[in-house]
Amino acid sequence: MLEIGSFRSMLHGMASRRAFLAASATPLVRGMLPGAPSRPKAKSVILLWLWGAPSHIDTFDPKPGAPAEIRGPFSTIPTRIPGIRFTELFPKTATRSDQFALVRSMVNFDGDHLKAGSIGLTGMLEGKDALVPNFGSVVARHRGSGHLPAFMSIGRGNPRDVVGPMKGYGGGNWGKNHDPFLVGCTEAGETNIPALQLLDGLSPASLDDRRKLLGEIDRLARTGDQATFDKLNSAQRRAYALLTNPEAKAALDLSREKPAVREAYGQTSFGQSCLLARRLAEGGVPYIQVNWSQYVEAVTPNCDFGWDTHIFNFDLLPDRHGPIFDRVFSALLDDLRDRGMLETTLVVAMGEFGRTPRINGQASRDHWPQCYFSIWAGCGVRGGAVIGDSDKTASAPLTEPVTPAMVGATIMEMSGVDAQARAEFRVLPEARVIHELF
Amino acid sequence: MSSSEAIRLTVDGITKFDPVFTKPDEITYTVLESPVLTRLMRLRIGEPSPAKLHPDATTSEFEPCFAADGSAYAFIQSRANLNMKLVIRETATGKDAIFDPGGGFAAVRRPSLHPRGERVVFALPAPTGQEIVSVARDGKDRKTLSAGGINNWPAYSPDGKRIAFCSSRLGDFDLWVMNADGSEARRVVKLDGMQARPAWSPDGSRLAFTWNRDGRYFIHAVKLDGSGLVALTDGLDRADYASWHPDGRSIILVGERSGKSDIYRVATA
Repeated sequence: MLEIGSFRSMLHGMASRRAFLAASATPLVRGMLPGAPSRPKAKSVILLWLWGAPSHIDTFDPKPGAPAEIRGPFSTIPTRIPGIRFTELFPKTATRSDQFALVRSMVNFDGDHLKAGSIGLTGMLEGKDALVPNFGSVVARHRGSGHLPAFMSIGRGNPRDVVGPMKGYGGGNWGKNHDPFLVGCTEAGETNIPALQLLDGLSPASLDDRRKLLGEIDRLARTGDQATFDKLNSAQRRAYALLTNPEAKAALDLSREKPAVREAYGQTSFGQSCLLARRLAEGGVPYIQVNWSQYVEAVTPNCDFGWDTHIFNFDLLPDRHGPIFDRVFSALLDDLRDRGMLETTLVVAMGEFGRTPRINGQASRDHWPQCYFSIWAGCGVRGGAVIGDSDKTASAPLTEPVTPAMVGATIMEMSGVDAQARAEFRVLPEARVIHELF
Repeated sequence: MSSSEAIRLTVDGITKFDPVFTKPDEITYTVLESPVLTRLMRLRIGEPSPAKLHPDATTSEFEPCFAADGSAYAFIQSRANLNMKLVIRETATGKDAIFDPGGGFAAVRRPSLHPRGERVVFALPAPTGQEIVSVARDGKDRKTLSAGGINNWPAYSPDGKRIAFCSSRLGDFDLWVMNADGSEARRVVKLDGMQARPAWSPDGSRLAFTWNRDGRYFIHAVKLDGSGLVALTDGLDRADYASWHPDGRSIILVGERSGKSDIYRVATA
C-alpha cells in the first residue's frame, strides 16, 4: 500500500518510518510473478554516485515552460525520445537516450547529505543503533570474491562532507570486512590503493614485480616489522593479496588500454575512474561504485568539486560538471556496448537527492529530496524508457515515487540477490523491484 | 595561421581555465593542480614549463585578471565552505584589498579589472538574481550594475567605458553589452544555445565568446552590432575561455582534444 498523500506532505520534513516502508513496498511485485519473463542477470553493477546531488531541473528533468525563477538559464535540447528534452549541457547523453532509462520520480527521505546518502546507498533509514549495509556489500556477500574484491569503490576516499563520513558507505553492522575495497584513480589514470599507504614507498606503481611485493610482505612478517604486519587490517591484507595476483593487478592498470579508449573517457578523475570501473567489471567484480567526488562540496578548500552547488550552480554546471558527466557517461555506454558487456553490466547513475526547483537567494539551488532522477542502462533495461513524471515545477512526482529501497531491490535482484536472499539477509525484504525498467 | 588551425601551447593535458595574456609573450591561467586545489600559473610562450604565480598559496585560486597598465591584478580565492572572496593585489607592493561578500555560502566570481585598474567588476549572487557588481580598487564603493536574471562573465572594454557580459534576463544565457555604469544594456545577438565568457578585441570592435552551438562549445566572434558572426575554432572537442592577444590577430583559449585540456592559440583574421 502506498501512502501517497501523507507521504508527500511528510517529505518536507523527515518521513516517518511507516511511510518510508510503505512507499518502498508493494504487494504486487510484477517482476517476480511466476511466469514473468526471466531477465538477464548482472555480472557486474557500476554505480555512478553523483555525490552532492545534481540539480534535476538543470540536467535531465528541465521545465522550459516554468517561470524564470524555476526554469533557470539553460536552454533545452531534444533527445531520441519524442517529447523528452534534456538541458543543453548533455548533448552526448541526449543522443544516446535510446540506450538507457530515465527515472524522473525519485524521492529520498532526508535533506541532509550524510543521511540521504546513507539512505541512497542502503535503501534504509539509519536505525538507532544499526548501520545497514551498502547495496554493494549485500551483492558482494551474496556473490563472493574472485581474484578481485567483490565490492570495489573508486574515489579519493569513502564519501563524506566537511562534517564527517557517510555511514552507509560500506558494510555497516556487518563489519568492516564488508566495506568496499577502495581504489583511487587520478585524472592521468594512475591508480592507488589507500590501504597500502601504511608503508612508505609501497604502492602499485612501485610494485613492479610480484617477488618484490612478496619480499616486502615477508620482511614485514618475519623481521622487526612484525608489529606493523600484525596491525594490517583486512583491507590491507586484501590489498596485498590482490597485488600478488597478476590478473588482479592488470585490471588496475589503465596503461593497458588503447590511447583512443582512454581519450574517449577524458583526462579527468571521473573519466578515468569510469574506465577503471569497466576494467573491473571485465575482471568479474560484481559491484563497483564510482564516486564523482569524495566531498559533496562544490568549491571549498580541500574539497573536490562535488555536486553541492548552493552557489554559482549556473556557472559550475556548464563549466565543469555537465561536460564531464556528459562525456564520461556517453563513453562508458559506448565502451560497454562495443565490448558486448552492456547486456551483462547494469549501469546506474544518481545522487542522493535533487535540488530546489525555485532558485534560491544566492541565484542557485539548495537540497531537494522530494524529487530527483536516476539513470539506468544495460542488463535488459529498456532503452528510451522514461519512468515516472514530475509536476510542472519538478517539485514532486506525479506518479508513484521511486525510492532508494526500490533502487536497491532492483540492483540486488539483477545481481542475483533475490527476494528470498534479501529476506535472509534482512535487507530490503519488502521493497519492490522497479519492474518498469525492463 | 588559418582560423581553423589551433596551435597547442601546453602539452600536459591537465584541466585548465581562465588563460589571459599578461604580456605579448606571456600568459597566466588556472590549473587543477590536484583534485582539491586550483593554482594560478604563468607561462612564457615557447618555454616548456609554467611557473607558479603564487608558490605559497595553500587554497584554491582562480580567474586571474590584470589591469592593462600592469598596476594591479585580481583573482578569486576559495576561503571557506562555498565562500569565495575577491582579492585585488597591487603589483608593485603586493598589498591586497579584499571584497568579502560575507560569511556562510557567499561568493563572487569572474572578475574583470578596469584597464587602468580603477574598478573591478564581477558576478555576485543576490536575492534578485545573480548581478553584475563593481567595486573600487580598494574593494569598497560597491555598485550593482544589473537588475534581475542570472548575469555572469563581465568584461571591461579596452577603453573602460563598456562592459560585456551574459545574461538570462530574456530567457537563456545571451551575449549583452552595457555602459560601465550599468546603463543602456542591450543584447548583442540572439543565438540558440548558451553564450558565455565574452572577451573584447583590443580595438574594442569585436567580442569573442563561447557558444554552445549544437551541443559543442565553440569560440565565435561578433561585432557589437551583432553582425559579422564568425567561428574562430573548429576541430576541438571543446573550445572555451577566449582571450585576445594584445595585437588582436589571435586569441588563446582552453581547448579539449582527445580528452585532454590544453591552451591553444588560433588566428582571428
